[in-house]
Amino acid sequence: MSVDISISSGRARGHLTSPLAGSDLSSSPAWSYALLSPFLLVYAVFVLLPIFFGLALSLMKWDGVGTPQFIGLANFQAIATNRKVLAAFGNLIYFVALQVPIAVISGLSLALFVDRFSPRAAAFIRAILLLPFIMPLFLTAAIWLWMLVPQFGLFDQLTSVFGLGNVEWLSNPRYMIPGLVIVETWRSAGFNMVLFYAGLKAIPIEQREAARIDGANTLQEIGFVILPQLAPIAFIITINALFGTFQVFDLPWLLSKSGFVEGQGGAGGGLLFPVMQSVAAGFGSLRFGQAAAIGVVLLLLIIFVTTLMFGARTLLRRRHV
Amino acid sequence: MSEFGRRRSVGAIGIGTVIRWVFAVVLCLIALVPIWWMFNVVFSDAGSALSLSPRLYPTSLQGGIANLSAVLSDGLFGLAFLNSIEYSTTTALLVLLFASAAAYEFAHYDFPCRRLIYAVCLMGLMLPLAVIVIPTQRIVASLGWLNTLQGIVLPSTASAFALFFLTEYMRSIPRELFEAARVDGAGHFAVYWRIALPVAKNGLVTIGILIFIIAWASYLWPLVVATNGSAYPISVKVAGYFAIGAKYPTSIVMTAALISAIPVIVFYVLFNRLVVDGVARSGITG
Repeated sequence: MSVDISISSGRARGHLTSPLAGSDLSSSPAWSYALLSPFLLVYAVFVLLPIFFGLALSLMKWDGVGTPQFIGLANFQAIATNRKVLAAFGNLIYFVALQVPIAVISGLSLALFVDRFSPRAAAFIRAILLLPFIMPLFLTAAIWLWMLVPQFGLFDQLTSVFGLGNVEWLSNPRYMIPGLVIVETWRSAGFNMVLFYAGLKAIPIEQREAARIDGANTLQEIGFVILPQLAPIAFIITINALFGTFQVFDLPWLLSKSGFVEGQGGAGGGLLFPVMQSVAAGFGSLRFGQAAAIGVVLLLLIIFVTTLMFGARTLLRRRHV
Repeated sequence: MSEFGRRRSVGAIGIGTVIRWVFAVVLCLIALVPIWWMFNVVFSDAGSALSLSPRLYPTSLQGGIANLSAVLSDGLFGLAFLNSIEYSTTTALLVLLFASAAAYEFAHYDFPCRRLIYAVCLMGLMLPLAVIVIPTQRIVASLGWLNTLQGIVLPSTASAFALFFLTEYMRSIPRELFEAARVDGAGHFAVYWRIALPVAKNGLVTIGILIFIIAWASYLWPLVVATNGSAYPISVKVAGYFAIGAKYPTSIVMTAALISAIPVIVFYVLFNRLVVDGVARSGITG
């Protein structure tokens, strides 16, 4: 779960500052707090509290039952030298570097393609392409476990036409992350397309028509009118894809038939990712401090990359102004 | 010459359209074939080796019925299905209740710290929830809520996405509507309950369906909170059919998966426009 950050909060802020003067809706703030309280209560207990509890836990040694002991940064030292944890973060970086560009490019090109159809046809194609995204992840994993079986799986049989074939997508550590990318792209391409398509439809039609009247062909219209206008939504979709891939769990966990105690990430730990390693450290080895520490490192990594993205955007904008 | 030019351009459009549609059909097939394949594996004769046929069409209705009854005769599967109906429906209703009340306030009232509270709530949109699964599970365990409805459902009811979506929706309702009701003597809560909620019906239905679909697919959270087999949701139950050490034939695994997809597919077909529009305005991911 993650949504447009910049636009949403920007728009929201603009709205929230709008004056209520002259309104007959003035009412005691007590009423407002009363109606807010259910949401705020669950939010405080199950979102805010866990963040602080997780930060505190990362500095403690705790088996989940006894009294937690403060041990400073020892958990972070332990995970920094743990080969499985390092492998999990290494896999993550590889996966993110492969998946995020593919997600953005496939979403954008599908949206530009669907845009060439009449509204009714486009709605129909969009509905079908979004179906894989609507399917529950555990079901997607069940299907693709068999689709990707070497030699006999349908995917492997079809790709053998192109000279691929007989690839151990889920059992050879070399091919496991590309295999995951195949499944994730099948699942999320339609979703990113729908987001890009919404951005495309938000471009004033006059601008596109004006380009046409000036004699622009399709490629010129895309290059000079559509793409520059889509830059903000492309940024949001990139952030969105980053958030999703950083916390990846369900698909690699199920595709590698992982368990809490052993076997996380399948053959050679080829599909081991940080959230999986954190969950296994907690519920498998009862090292809740280390489990929380992995969560904190992942959170810091996400904050770092997001800040980098926003910084890069600010720099680019300044140059264009 | 002009005649020739016109015909040629008509021909060019025709060919372009054909190529475009062929490409569209290929894309749709890529999206549909894995799901179609699952269906075909269910409706095939038991024991026919998966490896020998790519299963491009269903081959046996009787085989399918046998598979379905084999899965449904496992009482725990039916229980998990009903559990998921209970969990997902409760989640969707609570999200609607909590988020709509909060959205009504943020959209139409002024009170101290309004902007700050809204900003803190929207921060939840940016939080990778998988990162806090360990501390949240420990909190729920210390409340004694493992394997309970409230333990499985409550932590996912503070949906920042629903709050944002519904606040935008409530804003689009003209304030005059509320003011008129106030003049007629309706109180603060009555305006929310009798005016705001009915008027926001479409937004509520969209959010309700999206939350139901998300909750139905939810896997990581119930995996660590529903430790007892009788509390399993469908996601954990179906995953158990293909976990390491499980020895179910592929046809049975696919049958369990197919049954588990039914509510989602029904919602998607019935409320397609709402779901696609809702997704377009958001960014829902697991």
